[in-house]
Amino acid sequence: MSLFIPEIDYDDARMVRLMLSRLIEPDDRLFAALREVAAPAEMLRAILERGWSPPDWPAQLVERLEGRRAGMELKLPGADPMADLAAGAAVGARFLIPGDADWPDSLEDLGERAPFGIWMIGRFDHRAPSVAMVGARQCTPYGALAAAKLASQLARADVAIVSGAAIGVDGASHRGALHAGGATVAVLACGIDRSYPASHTELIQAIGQRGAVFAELPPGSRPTRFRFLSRNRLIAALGMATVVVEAAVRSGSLVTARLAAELGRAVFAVPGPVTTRESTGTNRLLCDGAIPAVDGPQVLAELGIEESSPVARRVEKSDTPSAATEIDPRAALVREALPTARSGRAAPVLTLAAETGLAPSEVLALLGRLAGLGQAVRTGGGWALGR
Amino acid sequence: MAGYGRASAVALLGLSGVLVQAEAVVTAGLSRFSLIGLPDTGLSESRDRVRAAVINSAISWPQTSLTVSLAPASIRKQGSSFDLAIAIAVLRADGKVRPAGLSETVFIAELGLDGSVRPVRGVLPSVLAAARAGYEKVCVAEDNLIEAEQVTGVSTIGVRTLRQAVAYANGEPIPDEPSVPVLPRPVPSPSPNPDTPDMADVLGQFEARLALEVSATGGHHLFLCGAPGSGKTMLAERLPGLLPPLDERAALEVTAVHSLAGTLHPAKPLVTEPPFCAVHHSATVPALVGGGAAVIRPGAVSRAHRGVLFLDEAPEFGRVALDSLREPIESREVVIARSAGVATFPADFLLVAAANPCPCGLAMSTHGACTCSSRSRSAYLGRISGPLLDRIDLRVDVSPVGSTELLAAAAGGLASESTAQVADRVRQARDRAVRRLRDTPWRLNAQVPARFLRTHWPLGADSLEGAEQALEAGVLTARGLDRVLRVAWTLADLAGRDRPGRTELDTALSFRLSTTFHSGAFA
Repeated sequence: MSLFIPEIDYDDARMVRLMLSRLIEPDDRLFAALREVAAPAEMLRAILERGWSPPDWPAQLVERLEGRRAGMELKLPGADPMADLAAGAAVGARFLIPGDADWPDSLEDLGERAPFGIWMIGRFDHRAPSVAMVGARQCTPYGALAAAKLASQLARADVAIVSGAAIGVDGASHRGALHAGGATVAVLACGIDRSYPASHTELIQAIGQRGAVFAELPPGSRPTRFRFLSRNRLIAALGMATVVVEAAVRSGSLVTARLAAELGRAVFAVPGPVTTRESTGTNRLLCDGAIPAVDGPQVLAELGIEESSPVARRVEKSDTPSAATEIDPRAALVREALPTARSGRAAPVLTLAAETGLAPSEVLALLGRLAGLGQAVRTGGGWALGR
Repeated sequence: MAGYGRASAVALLGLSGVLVQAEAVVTAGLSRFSLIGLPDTGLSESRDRVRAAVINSAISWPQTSLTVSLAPASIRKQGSSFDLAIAIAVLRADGKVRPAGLSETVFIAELGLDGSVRPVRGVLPSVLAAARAGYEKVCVAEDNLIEAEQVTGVSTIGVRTLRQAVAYANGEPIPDEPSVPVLPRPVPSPSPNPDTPDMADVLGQFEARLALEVSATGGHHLFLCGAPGSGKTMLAERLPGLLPPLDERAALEVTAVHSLAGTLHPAKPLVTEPPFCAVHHSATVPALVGGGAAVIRPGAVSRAHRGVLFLDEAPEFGRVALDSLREPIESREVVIARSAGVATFPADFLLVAAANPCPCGLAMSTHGACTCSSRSRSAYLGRISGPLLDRIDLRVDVSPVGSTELLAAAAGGLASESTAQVADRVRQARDRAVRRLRDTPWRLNAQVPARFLRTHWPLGADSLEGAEQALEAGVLTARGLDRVLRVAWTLADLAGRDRPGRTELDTALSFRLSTTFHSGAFA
């Protein structure tokens, strides 16, 4: 069998890593073991040149490599680093390797399981805080709402939301962050030039414009079950914490959570109803010691982002109702004058105006604002405190 | 042609009229009278009325074979308004009345057995149809004369008896006839009240007054919620007064509907003020939107055309009846299809729906304790279907006027603004809206699609802050935000501002129908 062996400059780190990521499936156990003893260039040479191996490699690993050779050689005819770079450039993607300015250092935490390189569209400030959000594809409306709300609150505090662009919780998290005008990062389980799922093509484009899209697999690769699982380790690594929103007991999201914990990242779980299947996994996580995720400010506080930091203040200002009314003392005045809903009483605007000394038109506008925060309600005869 | 005569009349289908020729032929043979040309049962009775009226007018009845045909024969004809035309056609065939000249007269009236000429419904749309068909002379019952005179370009004559009509058709001087004892006509429901309700009578009620003003300005439908005696009806009755008076075209449109519905006041046959139509909750679908098997009559939505439709105790209405309002609210007209044909009635109205907060009406009231269970209380307002509520932009809660306000009013202080003052502001605000919307197909803020508002006149982030918080808190839905936007534009028009600011948006938020309201979770 005649082999097509491309000419490779083993000193060109980018070319070496491009080739490796073409020939080796992400998160391959054998090569993870080899990386403890070998440099990438040596690994590539051992694949390409039959019979060549550094003398210090353990014999057992060399044997395993020989067993895998046939499978990798099948991939060789399609391995063309220049074509990969061109295909990436066609969709605006670059291939990053360790040492590049944009290379996310957090990926190094994966050690020997770190990707050889990663394709990226858009921008990602890997020094800024980021939180991974994962969860069920078949989520309930509760899960979607919880994900979107939490993502938008965190994104507003300049926390980037990392997720997998899947349907369900992933999509809701990305959308929540985009809606809040924040940054979000999608890690794909396919080539950077593909969109999976197809229904999220536009979403993935929007993420690329407002944040970043990552893919470990070379252009043109299709997603497979194992690729989803290996992709999860990148999500866990890219976030400084991982939040699980709805997961059944046997779920990829729980794998991500376990990986995150192994990487020393904080693991959060959104508490769910004890009656739904979609929350059994998250509730089990909570029993096992995960931190409950209730809302943005609480998650930020758990992550140690100081209350007084500008980030935390911005979250509070726009999201905690009590803070909003403290900003406007007149709204607080009107709220003080409202009877409680349980009292069975209701106050018309003119009464409130008399009690607060404000103009009726002003009182009505302030009531509208309070109603928007759920703090005032119409009760069938006037206004009362919201519950 | 001997033994042939004809006269013109009008057949109405809904508001559109078709000119009909009554043709009569007298031939030798046994004495009989047949009426052909798709007459309905009521019209077949016309034979007996016409014969009796002719005989009792001291004119001889042809003792031969008599055939009357109503042409075109393909159109179904209903009602008694063909009586006079049939009588004139028969008398022409018999040589008692001279044939129709070049400028023909259209006859629209019912005959009494004693030879009197009686008023009918739908004279105005009939005369309009005659005018549109190029006829210049119309003969109606004297009681319908004022109504017929509203149409310009047609000379009208009112007659009391068949003898007068015959004299008129022959070009002879019209004999004086004793006035026929006036038939008791059914009293029309929206009789013009001598003292129109005035906003000055409404004490306090800051929000409700503002809501009426906003509703009249932007064409926003309104929902009033409050205990019995809190003045919901009183408020609703004052809304038509805030609307601009009807222009000539609108007045004719409205009058035509009321003429057909039989609700015109005989002394004031041209409706120039926006009408107010209150419907009881026992109303059926045909009563609300119009219908009827033989004769298609306009329903309440059309009687409220260019005015206000008031549904008191809205949750007590049948669900089907309430949902039947959706189509007219959307399309601003009603299309009724029957075997006789398809009738279209205008139905451009402002909806005011009112409800008690609970079935017993005493929740939130100061007069007594509510006896309803919390379940029945929350289910009560939920009876109004979501799609209907979706079309209502404003919600106001009203409570009975407090004793302080009543005492102050008795003492002469605390004068409320009058209808004239408020209506003046409404007119100016409407002008602003019309100027802004001049290049669009819309005239009122409530008609403008929210997407258009958002794309053509986007608002600053600071004015939208409150609405955004409400969206985030889940108190406001995306659709609710659209309503808030429209109302905010109307508030800006009233305030004389170029675009709504934070105050307008917040105030509009206070008027929104809460989302929890429909699902039943109602405090």
